[in-house]
Amino acid sequence: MTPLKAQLFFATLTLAVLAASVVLILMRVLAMRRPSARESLNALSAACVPLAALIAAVSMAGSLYFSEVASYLPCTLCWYQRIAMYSLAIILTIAAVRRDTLIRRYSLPLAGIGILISGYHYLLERFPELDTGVCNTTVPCEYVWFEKFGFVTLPFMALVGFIAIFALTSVPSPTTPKE
Amino acid sequence: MTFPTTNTPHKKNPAKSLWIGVGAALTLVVVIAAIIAFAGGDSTKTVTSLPTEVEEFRPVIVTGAALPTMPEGDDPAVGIQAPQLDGSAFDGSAITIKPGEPTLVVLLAHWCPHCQREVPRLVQWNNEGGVPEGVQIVGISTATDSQKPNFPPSAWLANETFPWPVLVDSAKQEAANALGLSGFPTFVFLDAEGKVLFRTSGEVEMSTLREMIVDTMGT
Repeated sequence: MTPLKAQLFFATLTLAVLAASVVLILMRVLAMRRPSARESLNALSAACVPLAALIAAVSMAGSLYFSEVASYLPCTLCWYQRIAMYSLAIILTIAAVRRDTLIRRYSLPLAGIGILISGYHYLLERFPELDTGVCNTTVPCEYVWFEKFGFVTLPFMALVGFIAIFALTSVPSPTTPKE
Repeated sequence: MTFPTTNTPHKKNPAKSLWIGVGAALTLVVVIAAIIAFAGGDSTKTVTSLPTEVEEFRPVIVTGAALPTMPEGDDPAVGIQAPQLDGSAFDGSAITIKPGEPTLVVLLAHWCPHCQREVPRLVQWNNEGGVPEGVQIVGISTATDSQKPNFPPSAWLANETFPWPVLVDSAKQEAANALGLSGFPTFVFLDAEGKVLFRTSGEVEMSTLREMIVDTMGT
């Protein structure tokens, strides 16, 4: 797969995950009032951690592809997001295998930090004036490696991944012990 | 925390329907993405309108000691003789940065968003007659990378109607290194003897730039 095709592939997946995340968040809101939405969420809860692990693993694979194959050098903020996402990929996979329902204690802070960093990174791409006004000589964080559909960039992909993981792992499990 | 479930009997299991829907949607998305990704052609940007003699890298001859890399605080290069730079424009015509008259050197990278914002300001500044009299301006196109956006710099600066001569740096960025570049964009202001009056990097308002030029020329 060429880098251009990979960009399109991951950008399309990003939009799909974004749409699914919006649906999930709406379901969380509806679950407060509608029993049918609660039932659906309870049924979905068993799949939430495996799905979150899958999203983290695909995000990690995508980030490694773009840096190691496409040679898009990661900037400082990219590295901070990698710390969060790669950690999530590992702990969520272990949690999915062990059916650990308490993983949210660890996944929510990591995903939350990732949302903040990737959100700021995306804003920086849109509004470079938010930064110091100077590009460093290697890889400035406001530098946009590529853009699909007019708005999907690497930090946007990461942002959607973190939001999806946050939304998925915050779904309460019917079997979650009292904390 | 758990959500209570109701015991109301349903003809159709909503959870099962949900799973089927989610699964079908995901399958559809993946199939569409795969078709687009694997069957679609790559749309690469090709520059065919440029004259064949245009080059994005040109050899640069540096005569004299390189300036120290620009630090955060006080600039140790102020008052130091800048090296002479002999190079070429995109079209190959000779360009030299040497003592003679006060010169503002502007180092630009085509992929840098701050350079992309600064160039139109410089152009407008020139169009409005804001450049102090007696000051010549020379651009340096450096850190060029064909894999990065907004390539080639020759087309970018032509589109922006950059009005001043542009020295094209070598692939080893010899001109940028000789001037102690630390970021983009960088401004290096030299007096008529070729000594550094100030260096600054990052976006700067034209009123501030003019003030800096006028202040240091008067010293």
